[in-house]
Formats: sequence, C-alpha cells, structure tokens
Amino acid sequence: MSVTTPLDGGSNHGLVHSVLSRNTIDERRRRPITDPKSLVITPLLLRTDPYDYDSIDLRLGSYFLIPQSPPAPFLDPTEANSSRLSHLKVHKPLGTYLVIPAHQTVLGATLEFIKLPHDVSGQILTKSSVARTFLLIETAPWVHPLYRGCLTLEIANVSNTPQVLYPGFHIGQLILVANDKPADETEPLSGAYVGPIEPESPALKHPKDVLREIGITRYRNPHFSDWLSTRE
Amino acid sequence: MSPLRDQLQREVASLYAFVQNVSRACTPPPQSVSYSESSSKFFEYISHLADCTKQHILGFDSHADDDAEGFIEARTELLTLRNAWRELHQFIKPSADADTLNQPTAMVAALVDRLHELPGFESTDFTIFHTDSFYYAQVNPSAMEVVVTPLARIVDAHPFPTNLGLIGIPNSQGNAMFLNCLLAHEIGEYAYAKRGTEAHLEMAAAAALEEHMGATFSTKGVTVQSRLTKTVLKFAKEIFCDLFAVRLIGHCYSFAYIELFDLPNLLGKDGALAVGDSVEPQILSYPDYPSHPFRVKVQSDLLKAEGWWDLIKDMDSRHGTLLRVLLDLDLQDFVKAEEAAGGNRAPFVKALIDVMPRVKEQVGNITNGIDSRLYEYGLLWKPIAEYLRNGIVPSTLNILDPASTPTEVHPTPITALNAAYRFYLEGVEALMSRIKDQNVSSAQDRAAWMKRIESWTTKALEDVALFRGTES
Repeated sequence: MSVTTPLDGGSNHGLVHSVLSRNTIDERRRRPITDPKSLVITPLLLRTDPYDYDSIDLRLGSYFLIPQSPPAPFLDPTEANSSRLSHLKVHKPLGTYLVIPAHQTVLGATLEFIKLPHDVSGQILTKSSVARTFLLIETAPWVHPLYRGCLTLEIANVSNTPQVLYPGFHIGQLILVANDKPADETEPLSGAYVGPIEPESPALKHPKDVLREIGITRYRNPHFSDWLSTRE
Repeated sequence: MSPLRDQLQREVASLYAFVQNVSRACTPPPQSVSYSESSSKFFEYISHLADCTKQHILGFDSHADDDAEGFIEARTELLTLRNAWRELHQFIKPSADADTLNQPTAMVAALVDRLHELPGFESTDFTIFHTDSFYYAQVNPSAMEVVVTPLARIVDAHPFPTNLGLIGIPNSQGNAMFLNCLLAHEIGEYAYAKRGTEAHLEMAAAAALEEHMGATFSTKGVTVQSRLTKTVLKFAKEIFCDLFAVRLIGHCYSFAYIELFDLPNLLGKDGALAVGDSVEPQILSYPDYPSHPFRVKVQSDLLKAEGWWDLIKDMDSRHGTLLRVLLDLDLQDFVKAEEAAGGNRAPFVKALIDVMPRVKEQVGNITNGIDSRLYEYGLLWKPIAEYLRNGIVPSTLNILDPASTPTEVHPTPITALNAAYRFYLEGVEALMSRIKDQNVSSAQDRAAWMKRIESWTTKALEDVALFRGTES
C-alpha cells in the first residue's frame, strides 16, 4: 500500500490507494459540509488524543441489539419482521456497562457518527488492546465513500470469559483510504443503512427476490422444508 | 386474641402486602433496563419509604390497644398510610416504565440543563413517568408534599427529595423527539408552583373579574368569588407556562403545541384563519383553559417581541403560517367571539387579558437574564439545516464565522432543537430528494425520514452534552 500524500484538489485518477494521515484527516474534517471531500466525525472528543499517525480511534456507543431466540425460532429471511424480532434493544448510558458472555455476540455501534468524503473509503478494525482480550468488533469492516451514520459493530466475545464493555471506551480504529476515482456525490444516496445512530437489525433480502435474479425458480421454505416458487 | 386485635392484625398484614406490591416495581428497579439519575433518585426514595413503612407496620400491633378507642386510632393511622401509598401507586410503575429507552432522555437532559440556568432552579431535576393520557402532566410539588410528608412523618422516613419534580408524558411519546418540547410547559408548571406565582396574580384576577362582571361578581359570596377567580387563575397559569416554555426553549415549543393539537386545521385553503362570519368552536375558550388559538397567539406575540419571528417568518410550513395569522389577530377578537357565542366565558377572557401583563411580569422575573440563544440561532439554523439535508448529525458544524473565518462549532441544545424542528417541518422533501427510491407522496417513506431527523437531533443533543462535559 502506498503512503503517498493523499490527494487534495485535482483529480485522483490513475493514482493508487493511499492511507490518509492524521494531518489529512484533520484537514478534511475542517472542510465545509458542502465540499464533497469533507469528512465528518462527531463527537470527536479530544481530551485524549484520538489520532494515530494513520488512523483515528472510535468509541463504543451506548445502544446494543442483543440476540434473542424467542419469539423467532431462527433468523428467517422469508419473514419481514424476523430480524427485528430476533434482537432485544438495550441502552447502556455512559458510565454503565454491558456484559457479553463467553462465545456470545451483540450488535453495537460507534459513538461517533461519520460521513466519508466522496473519494475516501474506510475500514474499521478492532483496537489491538481490545483484540487481545479476544473481543472482535467487526466482520463487515469496509465503509464506502459518502457513507454516513454511526458504524454498526458486530461484537463477538470469542474468549472463554465473560467480558465487560463500557460505552465511551475506544474500541476500534478507523483507517481512511483515498480512492483512485471519487464517487459521484450528486447521485442519490443508496443502501439500506443511511444515517443510523445506533445498531439496526439487518435488512434481510427475501430469498425469492435474490434467487429469481439469478434464474433460480424455486426455494425451500425454512419452516416446513417445502418448495416454493420464486415467481409467486 | 381479642376480635379487635385480630381484625387489626389482618388489616396490618394486608397493608404490608399492599406496600410491598406498590413499591415492587422499583425495589429494586428492573435491572434489564437503565434509568436516568433522577429516576434512580425517585426509586431510591420510594424504596426507603417502603422500607420505613414496612418496618413501622411490623411494630404496629405492639401499640394497638384492645379497646375500641385504641382500635379507631390505629385504624385511622392505617388508613393514612394506605391512602398515601394509594396516591404514590399512580407514579411508581409508570416511572419504572419510563426507562432510558422509553423516555426522551436527551431532550429531558437538555431541558433540565436549560432550567439550571435560571436562578433558584440550579439543582432541580425531574423524574419522568408514563401516562395513559394524550396530554403531558406535571405533579404539583406541593401536592406531592401533601401526600408524602404525613406518611414520612408517621413511618420516620426522610422527607421527599427537594427539587425533584415529576412529569408525566403520554406513553406513546416515550421515544419521540420534537413533540416532547411540550415538556417545557410542564417545567413551567413546576416553576409556577415552586415560586408561588398564583399568589402574585390572585388579587389582579379578582379585580379584573369585578371590573368585567360588576355586581354579578361583587355581590357573590366569598366561595363563589373564589371559584370564579380560580377560573381566571387557571387560564393565567396556562399562559404563564406557555410563555415560560417559549422563553426557555424558543419557537420549537410553539411548533410542538401546534402539532399536538393539530392546529393547522384552523387555516383554510387560502392560509387564512377559517373563522369567517361564524364563530368556529376552536377559538372559544374551554372551561379551564383559554382556547388553543388564544394561547398560540400569545406565544406568537412573545416570539415577535423576543426577535424569533424575524427569523422564522419566511418558513415554508403551515405552522409558520398559523403563527403569522394569529399574530395579526387582536386579543379583543377572542372576546368578541365569546360574546357572539353567547356563553358566559367572555368575562373570563377579558379578565385574563387584563391579568396578562402581570403574568408576563412573573415570567420575566423567573427567566430574567436567560440567553434566548437567538443570536446563535440566527448564525446556525441554516448550517444545521444543511447538515440535516445531507443526512448528517449536526453536532459539529464547520461554518464561516461573522469574520468569514472557517471555524468548528458545536451548537447549544436549544439552537440544535429549534433549527432541527424547523427542518423537520419544512425540509423533509429536500432530504428525501438525496435518497434513492424514496417517494415524497408516500406517508410511510416520509414518516421514516421524519423519524430519522428526530434520531439525528437526539444524537446531536447527546453529542453536545458530551462536548459540554469534556469542556467543563
């Protein structure tokens, strides 16, 4: 990966990806929101320095979705409310904590709301000090240009010990990577997750819609294992 | 054991079980949810009160005599205890229902912080409880004292925490945002009661009634005069609380008021007040309250006097139009409407109008020196709208300051709230135009993005509270 200075002004075309350094992150943060190159990270609490040379630390937010078995017996993409019913929403205000039992998972979110520039992608990684407790925060770590929202964290305690999570603690680091071609900021924002401020249940796609697109004519119903048509 | 003692012991046990059941919701409070500090304070007190009551009850039969006189005395005490817990019953479980996910936590914190700017209210806090009612409610602090003080004295418990108020919100609005600006009115009721404002208005209300009712008032007995005066005072209290709320949080209070009571329906297709020659019922006062248009008219007058109006007069919303129309109306139009309707409430409206200068004076005394945040709003409402239009939480704004220097600012909660509510009313189409596959004609799509604007505003209030904490 190149460490050349990320691009500022002019075209990015033909250049390799490069990781934004502290200075560039800071400079992007100061741009007005009308500038497609602007970066938003809020609240960026500066009492402790959140920056590393090539990344910025993000904190754990206060809202969680905890998986629950009943009333849904399993996460079922054929049921519209399945993903919503399979989680229990919990609020842990700053100062309180959440215990994640061993080998359990929970959805959380960053405290910081971010908006990426049109020419920058992001990747969120578990902070090494957190990872060494065998706590992982991300399984879908890539963030697209122009994304806006708090980042949902798929937190997994893969250790044999229950772990305590305090909202407000630094938990991940965001690495920003300049792209060789910016996204078109005039295009309408797409995606199922525009502007979340807390973890949200997954927007599951119905198998008949996904499979029909690739020419599959039937699928099995997870409740009764019978075959259903994708054309109905 | 004598029959009397036996009977008494049964009743003692029954009361013990009753107190256990009533206090169970918060002793201890549910651990699966979180509570605000003020809720926890309330639960701790109830828990303490329950412990003291149960302890007192356990020692009860030792001083219960076998004679009939002693029985009656003991029975009276039991009744006092039971009545007090019956009163508390209506607040305990509804308070436990209002955990941090089921009350507008960030909004309440912002309002309480704002209240702390007023002299004498620096340590006031509020416990939120749910009500089945469509309306918000404030528990009069003196009424709470009347319930708790005798109980606490009998069972040797601490007095009810000073400076802790109780406010009820409709249970449907637990996680809403903007409509909960109406909480400012309830805070006004608390301030009204705490400052004994009614006493400052009573004589003026009676004098105004005497002037407008003449002998119909002056020849009546004290009881009737007092009842009539009370009506004017009830009217005046509502106006006080409305004006207090506008002073405390600005135009967003009026927007919430207009929304809750669906007042844009007062406007005809042409945007004019749909009164015409006939008297519409909405403009007439209610038995205990001035009419909604009257109240909004008084609010719009204050918004104009404070300078808010110049900043919102061009907004693209029927809420703004309604404020404008009511601003043009004369208070005497409400008197004429009452007279034309032929009811008996015209003198009350006239008396209220006479008393209003004193009401304003009282509001001014309590809110004296508070910064309305008008200047900040003038600088930041457009940037905040721009952030929201782009789907971004407006807690850190990059703007050009008056000297055109780029600068990073964090709005105060009051500015964030007012600017965001304004955007909520007039900007949702602009936001939706930025999002793929959204239909502005679809109520479902619109409602989803309106909810998003509320959530971004909530997040902004949470963020700016953090900024303030780290800056202090």
